[in-house]
Amino acid sequence: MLKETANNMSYPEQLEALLGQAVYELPQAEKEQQLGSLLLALHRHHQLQCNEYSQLYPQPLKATENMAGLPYLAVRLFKLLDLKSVADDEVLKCLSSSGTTGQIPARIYLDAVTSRWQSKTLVKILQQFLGKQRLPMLIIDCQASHMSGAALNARSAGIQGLAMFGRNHTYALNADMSPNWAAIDAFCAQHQHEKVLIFGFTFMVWQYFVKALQQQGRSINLPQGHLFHSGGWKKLQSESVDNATFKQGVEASTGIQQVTNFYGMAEQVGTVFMECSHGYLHAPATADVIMRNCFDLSEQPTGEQGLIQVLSALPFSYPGFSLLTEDLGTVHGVDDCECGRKGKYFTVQGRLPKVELRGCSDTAAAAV
Amino acid sequence: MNQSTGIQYQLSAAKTPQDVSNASLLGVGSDVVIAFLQALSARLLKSPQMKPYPDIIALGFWLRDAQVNQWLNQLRPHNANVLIKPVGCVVHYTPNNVDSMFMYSWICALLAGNNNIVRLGSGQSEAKRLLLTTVEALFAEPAFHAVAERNMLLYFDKTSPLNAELAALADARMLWGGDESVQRIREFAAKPRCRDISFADRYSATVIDPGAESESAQLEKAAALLWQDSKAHHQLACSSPRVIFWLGDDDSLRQFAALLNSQAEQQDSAPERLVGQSRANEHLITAQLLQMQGKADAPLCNKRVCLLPVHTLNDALLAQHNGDGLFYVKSINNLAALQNELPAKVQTLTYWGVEQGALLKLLADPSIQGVDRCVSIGKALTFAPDWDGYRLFTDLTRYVHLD
Repeated sequence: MLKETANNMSYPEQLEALLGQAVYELPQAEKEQQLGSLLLALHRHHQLQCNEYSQLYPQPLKATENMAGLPYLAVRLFKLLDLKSVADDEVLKCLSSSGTTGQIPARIYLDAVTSRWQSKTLVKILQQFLGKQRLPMLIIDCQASHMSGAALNARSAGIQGLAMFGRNHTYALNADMSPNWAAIDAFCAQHQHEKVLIFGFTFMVWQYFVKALQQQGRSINLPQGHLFHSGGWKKLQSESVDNATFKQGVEASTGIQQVTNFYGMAEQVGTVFMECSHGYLHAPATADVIMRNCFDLSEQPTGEQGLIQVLSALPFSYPGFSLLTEDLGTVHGVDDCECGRKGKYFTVQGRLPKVELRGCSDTAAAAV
Repeated sequence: MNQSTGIQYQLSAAKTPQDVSNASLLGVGSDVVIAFLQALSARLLKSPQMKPYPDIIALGFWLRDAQVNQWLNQLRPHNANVLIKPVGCVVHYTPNNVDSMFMYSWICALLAGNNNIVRLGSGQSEAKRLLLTTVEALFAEPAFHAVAERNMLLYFDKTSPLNAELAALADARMLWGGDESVQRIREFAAKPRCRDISFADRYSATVIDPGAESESAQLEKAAALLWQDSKAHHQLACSSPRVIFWLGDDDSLRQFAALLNSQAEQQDSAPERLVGQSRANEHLITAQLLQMQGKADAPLCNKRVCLLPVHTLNDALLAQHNGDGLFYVKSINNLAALQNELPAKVQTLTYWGVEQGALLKLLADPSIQGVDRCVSIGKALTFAPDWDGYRLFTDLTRYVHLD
């Protein structure tokens, strides 16, 4: 049974305790209790502090054995409503993200505490892959000053999150998304024999970097480079580029052998799900996933594809600790990935297909 | 495609819309039109390739002789000093979402003796293709030449100059497609005496009284019939019920929600199931949004269908309704409570377990502006020439009185 005040600890104390754990060594059964009771405390907090949330959940929660019994919000609600659980004057920044261009962006309100926990958590997770030393960093994007609108907020926030792991930050693209050869060549010449960090959004890395190199018949050589990328496969799926093709393409054009995809979203910054050497995404101690049946939203068993519900210990200033995303994924196992990490491991298959249903109001535009 | 007019599809023995409008009129219920409709009905009902399409079978059945004779009787003058004549050229803008709707709109005007220009919707479907192929074959028969040269089915680009031309030719316009489409088409100036029959944004509801001792067999029947009214066209036809008024207690409502859900699950075909992948999430979003805004309570069910108890029905709430198995539920204590729940936007009210007399008494109240059709549950989608408050046979004919 999940209990809200395990060990009589407050939320920050519980979170601190969870962050004190090794990132990938908490077995699922223990995580269900530790993370679960923390999420229960967050549920209570948002019930008390967020009016909309309390309208949705006016009653105390029924007792639940595990995290699958916790409530969840449809992630699109953050595009439709301004949801926050702190006073207006405590809001440090509003993160906005539009999944796809042309859509209304989600609005995520962060206070100083939540923002600090996010950075701290991200650092802990990425250090597992990067070590503690800052590395020379090549960013497959243009400088934030060249971005505009929603791209500025969403993309630059992602870059900023990773930038703290790098030094000598070099932007590989010009404002028009063409490769900045001078910058790339200078970076490679200087750091060819060192460990370097490369980061970019999956689609941009492929479209504007790997393909640009291919098309111009050029290649670079960063054999000690480690590429981290995130942001979804939707656009690449239409070109039939899967994870394996992506990795091959990257290595052929850049010599980069270490390529790590991760799954994360603006609605839960900090708790990213990193890909292991066996190609599976892993939940850190501070987060988890549950796959839900698309047709009735019940929990899917291991091996069955479903809608991805993401749970995170961090969202305190906004009620986003348990979100039903519009992504499809599959949990492949629990505690037994060959890479040695504990907890659930999974893959993401893409977005829930959008189905446009037409109403009567459509003889259309017949007459425009 | 014709570059200047944007016409991408044209089916007629006439060369141009102008020719259709210039052709002599056949008169109300002419022999050739009746024969044409009989032949059409026979082909729709007898050809095995039509079998998989319930819309087509329903249309074939709708055109059965007894039904057509009844309409002819309605059309015929009931007084020796009266003549009923067609209005002339009817231009139809037909909707995208219901494959066969263009046929119903056209047939009503055709039976009344009018010449017709029917603009098809942009939607593509096998049922629509089969219907057009059948009409094409009939148009090619010499016996139906008189129909073929007076009627034109076409699809043209939305920006075509033809819009203005058709407006100038029309003696009556059948404008389907809801508020926005109707307003846009009306921007093209028509003749001063042109009659516009406009189908605006409407929604429909059902009122169910489960009875004192709600027997599950009876409730199950009501659920099956409600689903029959709701499943076609993803519940987006104007006459599909989106609101349930419940005249029973909470227990019977819960029971009904479960029955409706299992009916819906049983009837899903494999392709419908695939389309349904995003449905529960869409319904979850609507339900959570309305709950967060204090407009609804927790859904009674969110699986194949979602039954969401709402506090106050209004336009904003109905604008959130995306169809595909979502029902707003309002519990009421008695029929009189409906008095304030039937605004002008309500088109069809279906009923179960409620006395006709009581309904008639309720709907007679002048303060109720909505409800243009009140039919028993299960018949919401059955098209009739009396529709949406219009009497099409009257609106598409001229009444000539000799004194």
